[in-house]
Amino acid sequence: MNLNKEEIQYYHRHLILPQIGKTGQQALKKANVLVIGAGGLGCPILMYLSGAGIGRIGIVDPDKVAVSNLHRQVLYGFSQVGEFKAEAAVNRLKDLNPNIVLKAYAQRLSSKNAVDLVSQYDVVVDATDNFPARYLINDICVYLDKPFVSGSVDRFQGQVSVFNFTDGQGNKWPTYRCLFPKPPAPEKAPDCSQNGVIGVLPGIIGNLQANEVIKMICGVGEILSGKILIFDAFSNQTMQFSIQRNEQAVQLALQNASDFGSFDYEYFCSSNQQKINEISAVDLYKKLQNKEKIQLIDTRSAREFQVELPNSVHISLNDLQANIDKISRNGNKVVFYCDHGISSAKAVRMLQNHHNLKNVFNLKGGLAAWLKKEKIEQ
Amino acid sequence: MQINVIFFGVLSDVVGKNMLTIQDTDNMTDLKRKLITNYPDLIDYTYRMAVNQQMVEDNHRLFDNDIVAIMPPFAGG
Repeated sequence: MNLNKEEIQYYHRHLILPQIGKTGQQALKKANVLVIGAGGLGCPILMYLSGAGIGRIGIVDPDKVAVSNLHRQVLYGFSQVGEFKAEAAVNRLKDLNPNIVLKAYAQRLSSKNAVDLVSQYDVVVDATDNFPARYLINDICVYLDKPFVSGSVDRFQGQVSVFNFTDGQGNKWPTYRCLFPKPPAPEKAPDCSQNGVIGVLPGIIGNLQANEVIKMICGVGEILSGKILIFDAFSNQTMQFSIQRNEQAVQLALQNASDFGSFDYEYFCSSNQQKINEISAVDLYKKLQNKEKIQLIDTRSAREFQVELPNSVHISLNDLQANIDKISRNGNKVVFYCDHGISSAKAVRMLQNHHNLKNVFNLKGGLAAWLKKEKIEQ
Repeated sequence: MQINVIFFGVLSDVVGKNMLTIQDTDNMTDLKRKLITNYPDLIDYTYRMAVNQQMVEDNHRLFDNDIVAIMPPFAGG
């Protein structure tokens, strides 16, 4: 895989590094990397992997750019708000490096499409923001025998590791499930939209992930395989912890992966493996049209969509405990909603499990589903 | 016999600090029991424990001045 004249100029600073040089740059050009998630972590990963000259990059993200993304997702600007992130990213990155191939997948990674998507790439990067996706990525990568570089953030701290790596001697290294065999209960693991995150943190963690990808492909330096790095942006402390491979945890991944189509990762990651009451956007719409008495509760603390449902009460997830008495107990349905139905699901799960409320429902897919339904109506 | 315990992520909110010391314990199972007695909310959380920067299982032996780190998985991205 030879470098053309423009590429020799573009990658000059890499080419003069003995650790990368022409051989390393050619290896990068030959590489196929799938980046799952084009948000806080995905943006720096994509920018630096594109700059580094990864020959073919796939970008998976079902979401659209929102104003509340921009403080950390600096690949995008105001003019891309409302566009699919995967597509907006490809357009920007094409300009950054026209010598690479970029492919946008504006879809959610699911057990239905995972085998097809991941099998087209050699290295996977987990830049997602939820546990169902993290366990799905682990299981599919174990099943298809691909290494993946994992990053995650929580307010001021981040974690980075390389999982499921096979070294030059053919030794298999730890997987995500070797570290965390079981997902936490959702209400015990808040995400950035509830807890907040300092904008630079995914920038730092995403760059560490991009660095691992580059070293892995060039076969230089030490990679974070069998280790997890934790960075604290407050204290500037960085710590590394070693992880052992656990064959039982690996087998668990393989069992799930061999029957992907029927395995529900959302359900697996939900509290006590218990289903919550849900209502579809279409059903809710019909019930409201029929003047059924329904209390609507908006659990958002920040908004991606500027709309809200008529006559909503606003109780953010964090304030729920203190506002339990505002929830109707007269037997009418109470429907909780948010942008995508994730924080509202946590509210419903908590009320069902810990307050024994039976009349609480989650709007499935949240306002995103509601808005889609409105388009269909029109 | 003193063990230093550090907490990451949401767990430092649960115990209200990043670090504390536990006296008179010589294995992880006992340390965990002592922590849960003092901070009952910990029982609902998923986490891994490391001793001197190595992830270990519950039955691990502890020695004076060991540093135990307790970390939850992070979701955000």
